[in-house]
Amino acid sequence: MALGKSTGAPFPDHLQTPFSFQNNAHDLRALFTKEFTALDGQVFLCRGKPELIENIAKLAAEKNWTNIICKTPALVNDMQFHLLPSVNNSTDEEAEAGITDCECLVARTGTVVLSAAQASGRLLPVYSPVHLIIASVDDLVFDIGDALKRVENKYSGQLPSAIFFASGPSRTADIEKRLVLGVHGPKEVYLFLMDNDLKQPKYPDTL
Amino acid sequence: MKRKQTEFLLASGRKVFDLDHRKKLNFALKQADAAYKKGKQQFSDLETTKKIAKNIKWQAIENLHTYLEAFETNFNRNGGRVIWAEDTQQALDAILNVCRKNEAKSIVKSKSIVTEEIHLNQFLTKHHIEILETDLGEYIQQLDGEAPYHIVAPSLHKSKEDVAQLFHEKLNVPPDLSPEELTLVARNILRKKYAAAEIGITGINFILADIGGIAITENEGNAWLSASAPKIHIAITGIEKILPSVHDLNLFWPLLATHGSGQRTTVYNSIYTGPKKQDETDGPEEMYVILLDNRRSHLLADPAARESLYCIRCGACLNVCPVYKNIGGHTYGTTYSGPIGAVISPYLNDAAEYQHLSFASSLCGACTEVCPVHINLHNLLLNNRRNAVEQNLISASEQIGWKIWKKINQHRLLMNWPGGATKTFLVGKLFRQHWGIRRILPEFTHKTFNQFTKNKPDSK
Amino acid sequence: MKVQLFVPCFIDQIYPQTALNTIKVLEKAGCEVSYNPNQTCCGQPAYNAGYWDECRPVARKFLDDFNAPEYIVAPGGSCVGFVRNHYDKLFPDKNMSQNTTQKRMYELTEFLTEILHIDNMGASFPGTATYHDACGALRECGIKAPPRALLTNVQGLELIETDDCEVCCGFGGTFAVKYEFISSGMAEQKVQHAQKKGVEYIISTDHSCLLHLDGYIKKHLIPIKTAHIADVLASGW
Repeated sequence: MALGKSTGAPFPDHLQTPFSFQNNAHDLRALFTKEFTALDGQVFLCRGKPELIENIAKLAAEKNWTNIICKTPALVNDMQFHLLPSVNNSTDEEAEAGITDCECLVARTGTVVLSAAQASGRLLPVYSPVHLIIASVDDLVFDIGDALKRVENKYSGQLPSAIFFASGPSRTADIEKRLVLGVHGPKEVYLFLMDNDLKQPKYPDTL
Repeated sequence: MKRKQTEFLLASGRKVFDLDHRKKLNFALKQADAAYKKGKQQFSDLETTKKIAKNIKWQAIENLHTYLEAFETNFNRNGGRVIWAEDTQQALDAILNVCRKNEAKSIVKSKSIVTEEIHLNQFLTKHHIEILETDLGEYIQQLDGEAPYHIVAPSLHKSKEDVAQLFHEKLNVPPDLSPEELTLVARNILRKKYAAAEIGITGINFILADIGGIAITENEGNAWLSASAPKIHIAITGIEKILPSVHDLNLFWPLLATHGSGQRTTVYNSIYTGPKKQDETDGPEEMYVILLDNRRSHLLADPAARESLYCIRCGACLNVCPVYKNIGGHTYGTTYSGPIGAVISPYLNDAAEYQHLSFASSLCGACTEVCPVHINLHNLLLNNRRNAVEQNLISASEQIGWKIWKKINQHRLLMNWPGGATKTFLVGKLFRQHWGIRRILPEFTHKTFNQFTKNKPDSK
Repeated sequence: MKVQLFVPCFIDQIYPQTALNTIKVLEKAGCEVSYNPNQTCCGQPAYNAGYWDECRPVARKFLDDFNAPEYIVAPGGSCVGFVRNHYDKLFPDKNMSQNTTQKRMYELTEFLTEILHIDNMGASFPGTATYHDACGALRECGIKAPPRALLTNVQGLELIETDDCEVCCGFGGTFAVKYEFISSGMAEQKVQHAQKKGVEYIISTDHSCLLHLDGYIKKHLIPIKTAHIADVLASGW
């Protein structure tokens, strides 16, 4: 695999140039909500735990879910404590929905970052027909690069065996370019964003 | 003319004037174009971004050996295993070994053009191992017994009625299902397969040297399931998919999404660094990465062609290519179609058999213009053409023709000779047959412009 | 301003009137036009066909024929793009940066608008037309605005854009004879798009494209005419 002759840099003037995306300075909460919604996800802002539990309970009742899987111990305890018996930590393949937390949220692309190191593991978020994510406003970062740094820092060199960047429900356009949601992964995705101070915009951390 | 060239020429004639095919392809590619134009707005300066991306791929490919070794070291440390495959046979043998060791009877597979390149499905089927495509487009193609039509959109050429009819015939469902219903049929069939399969095979979009991981881009979730549900995960790719660092994904994921499907980001972008860790909930017990050369080192060894290895397989050059738009994917008769396919196929296969593809281009440059990593595709086609001439793969009559052309164009008086009518006659004699029935040939004027002017050329 | 005229082969052999009109336009724009009668071809046909060795002596002759220090103007983007972007590769040993030919060479419309800052030639050309972006002009030279600016100011001419104005006409030199089906199919779709817009003319900077489209149009008796931009700009005065 020896290189015969090396070639020079294609664009030597741009070896140090940073690239940039549109919308660099933005309220992350508003940006994330806009992008996540544009991808057919739904955001529920929740001021504190009681509102979160109430929102989930009402949505479950409305959708008539009787079997919601959650493998995150703290979350299961919270839910069951509040008499949400449909939430359990079984491995039932027929469950109607799955609840997980997340590693972080990418505002620019409306992305939920998940990993195999979470108690929910690899399969629950993708196998569930409906995915409910519980996140906090502190999970927001601007772009994919920021999210990668955050995950790297958290696991300090021992990355989880899988890291997922999920942006909205599963989709396909393989049949005549027609958009269909929920091909192999979830058809519906709901994000419950915990934020105690809704009036304060959330700007990116300046490094 | 070589057999493949003749086949290509005849097949192109059938496709170009198949108006139903033209309509379907134009419809699909028009939508792809509209999505791309919207998606690219996410970059504040796309042109500069592409230059930066090319620099990164240049760095990666110039130091390919170093980065691949770094990947192997890091991936081993994560508990994975790298298998180096010099050619198709080595890759197939490696996969069969893993299957036998684990007594695998069924495999789920996500989209991977490299598995098309090595004809994996046919090979495993011959060894009585079921291998099922899980990407919806690939699943449709597998049901139909056809190769993918497009590297990103495998069933691009099929209308929804075509797919409904196919499902009706093969899966015994009603003949008039909608795309939503058809998708649900596939979902329900494939769900059961993920859990039952012993092995999941996936492609790879990027090899990440610094963390010893791989990145996979998809919209459906089938690759995620294939890499996570079975107890063994095999990922296979060509060696050129290398990126120096996981942090390059901040650029390359959006770049691939926009140029592949017009999205800002695809629905699922995943990084896999190895098998399930001890304290993790679930995941495969073993993970293999197969790194395939299969004559890519020929491209690497030639500085003039090397940049074709920067390709991230987004398919954008196919979408904008007027030749692809007219003849579609299958006509090429290669695993990789479109401009990038025409560039690399003579290197990845016998050059004599595939050089004609480099000439099947008007050199319009739309491919070069759209390429997210700024590969000079139409210049690489020119380079291939020169190779074909130097390697004597062109007909003798054409070679003589160009020698005469050279002679005439070195002497102005020869260009004015022998008068318009004779020229028209000669050109007609030479080219009428190849000009076809759909165009008339132009006629030369009695005098050239040169003969109208007062100054006379030197009579040398 | 003194300029040297380069006449592309197609114009020299098939459409001499366009060269005469180019001179007419340049002179009206205040140029003194010279024509070296020894000139032949830039060499592109052989280069594109893979015959670099056959191309080189012809390209070398081009450099010799145009070694005067004045601007070189050509009614065609294809030759200009070739000289600008490919002579470096053709002569890797020759220090092309010392040679100013590549920098002195301009396509007619870009020369008028960018060097002479003229976007109105005072022409009139009644009718409806669409402009076809010739690949050589558009992608090798980056010419998008100049022809449109000039055509917008032509009296009586209504310019109608098609969605596929940037799509190749299918000519491509030897491609047109090696792969007649694909080439004809491309011409067919190009002409059909123009037909749908109901235009009377297809105008372009390059006669190679127009010749190709015209071949399709005439064969099928389609009521559209092709017109070189130099001929349009030289009309009505």
